[in-house]
Amino acid sequence: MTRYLLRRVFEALPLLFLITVAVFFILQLLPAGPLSVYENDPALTTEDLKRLEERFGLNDPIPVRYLKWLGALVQGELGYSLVTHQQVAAMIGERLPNTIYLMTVALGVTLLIALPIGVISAIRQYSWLDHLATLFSFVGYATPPFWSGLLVIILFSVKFREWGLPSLPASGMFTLGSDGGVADRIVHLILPVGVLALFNAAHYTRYVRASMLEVVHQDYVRTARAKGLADRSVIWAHALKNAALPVVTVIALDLPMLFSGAVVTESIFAWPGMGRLFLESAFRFDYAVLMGVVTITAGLVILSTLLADVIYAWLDPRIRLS
Amino acid sequence: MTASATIERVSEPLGAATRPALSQRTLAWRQFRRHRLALAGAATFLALCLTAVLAPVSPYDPNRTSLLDRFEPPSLTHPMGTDDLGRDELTRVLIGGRISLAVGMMAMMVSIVVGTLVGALAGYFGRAVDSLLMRLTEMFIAFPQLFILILLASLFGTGFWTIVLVVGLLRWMPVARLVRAAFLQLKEQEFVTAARALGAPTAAIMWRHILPNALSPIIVAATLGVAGAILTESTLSFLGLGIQLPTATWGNMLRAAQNDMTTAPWLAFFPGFFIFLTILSSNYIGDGLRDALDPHKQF
Repeated sequence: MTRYLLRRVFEALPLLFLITVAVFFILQLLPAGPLSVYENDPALTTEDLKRLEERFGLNDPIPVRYLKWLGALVQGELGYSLVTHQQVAAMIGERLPNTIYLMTVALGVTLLIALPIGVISAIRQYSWLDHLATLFSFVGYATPPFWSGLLVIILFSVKFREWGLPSLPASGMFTLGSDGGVADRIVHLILPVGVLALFNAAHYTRYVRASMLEVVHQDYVRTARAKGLADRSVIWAHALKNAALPVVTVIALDLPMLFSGAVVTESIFAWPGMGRLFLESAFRFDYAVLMGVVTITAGLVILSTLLADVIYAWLDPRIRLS
Repeated sequence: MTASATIERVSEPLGAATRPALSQRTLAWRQFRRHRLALAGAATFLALCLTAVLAPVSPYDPNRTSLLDRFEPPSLTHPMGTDDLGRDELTRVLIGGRISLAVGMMAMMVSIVVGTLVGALAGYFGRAVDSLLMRLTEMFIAFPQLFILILLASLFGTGFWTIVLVVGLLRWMPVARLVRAAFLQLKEQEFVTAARALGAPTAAIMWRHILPNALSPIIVAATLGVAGAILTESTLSFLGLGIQLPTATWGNMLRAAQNDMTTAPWLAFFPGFFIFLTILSSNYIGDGLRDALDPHKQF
């Protein structure tokens, strides 16, 4: 098991390396290079820019600069933002927990919706419940989060307030100026989590259904039934545990997509997360921050695929033992 | 595909006595027709394309502003109301559909071409070529695509072709995997060995003999790919990185609608509803095609 995991880590490292190389080189394609931030600043003369280039070591060839960046990364340094002059690591450290918080809750709610719906539509295949679930997933899949986001804000925040009903907050993680109590935080989660969960559950319902359908006709399920186990425990304990295997893989492979979904959701609901940090930095060409966010996200995605492998091995003894 | 070909050959003498043998295409069409939602999807999609093409017939100019008619709610003269500059929303939605649908289809074609090329090379040549190309594919899959999209769009500008290329070049991976799997299986078949024995050049074997047999999964992926590409394009536009105003796209119209959610909520509804219809209909078409082109379901 340890050896298996070590091997997976060593396979993942070159991937991370390649991604940072690719992004680093793409960023050099900016017309004015990393100093694009200053390009339109009338207070800076061409000579100033030259001096800055000198000071930041931007006259070195690109590979040399990449190696310097990599060297700093190994020591836990991500550099400084050219716009806010804060440490990139600190900026990310401030935003990342907010994104993880939103994504974890959203993933939890997604599974709470997708698991029961998927299982029920598999055991009642072609029933009206199954058809309804299929309709739900087609509709959910076709509803882009930025649209459903606007619609729920209009309905639950704007209209509800107009009608004098209790309305939901449409932005931020907690009411500004308040102490951000638990109830307040939960209320702020409802809309963004709802939007993310609807979109993701549409996908996962199909995976759970497909994977459950494969499992329920297997011999050991029949054996469990023949032994006289209650239907409920056969389905929810025996079958679901095995049906969960492919679903775990799918979720792990989907994490990049979940991160992407977070960019949109964070932007609509003014959620102070990493997706929005990235978007803001892209608009102002804040190159050190972009590089930092990309590296951290890629690292997290790779880490979570590893985590999926561990869960997979835990769910399936055949992998653990071989 | 091969399985159905065999079955067809075997069943031909039996069927020939009663009715003429049916071509693959006829069989697929018959199966597709039975999928009522797919038919409805095809009709909706065609209608969307047609209205987008015919949009200039509208009496309104999509970009002409008229400050006296700002924020008019939907009415008979403006079925979808007017926006913050008094432009007719319906005309803009239809004109915006041209960009969104065109980007979607072009980007899909880019991703199909790249995906087929990568998948075919990896599947046919195997060994080092395969592992190199598959590592590349994995690298693209492992990455939060929207981040790269945002990066590329902010660096290379937001012209039509840039967006097509950027969206297309980030969506070829599933196609590459499908095509690779099909090539891996097909290259071991007798007809490939026969072609090789007859001295057909490698390129001819790959593109003329193997590829036509791998078309079904590619067609299905292409249909679903249009939906995905339109979703990606409108996400970019929504974030302000797609094609820029005043050119209307569904995404940038929704972006603009964000500012007027209290005064003009209808502006946030219609462009999104058109995205919804497009994605829903192309997914149903894809679903129907998957059934229709699946040889196991034809009999």
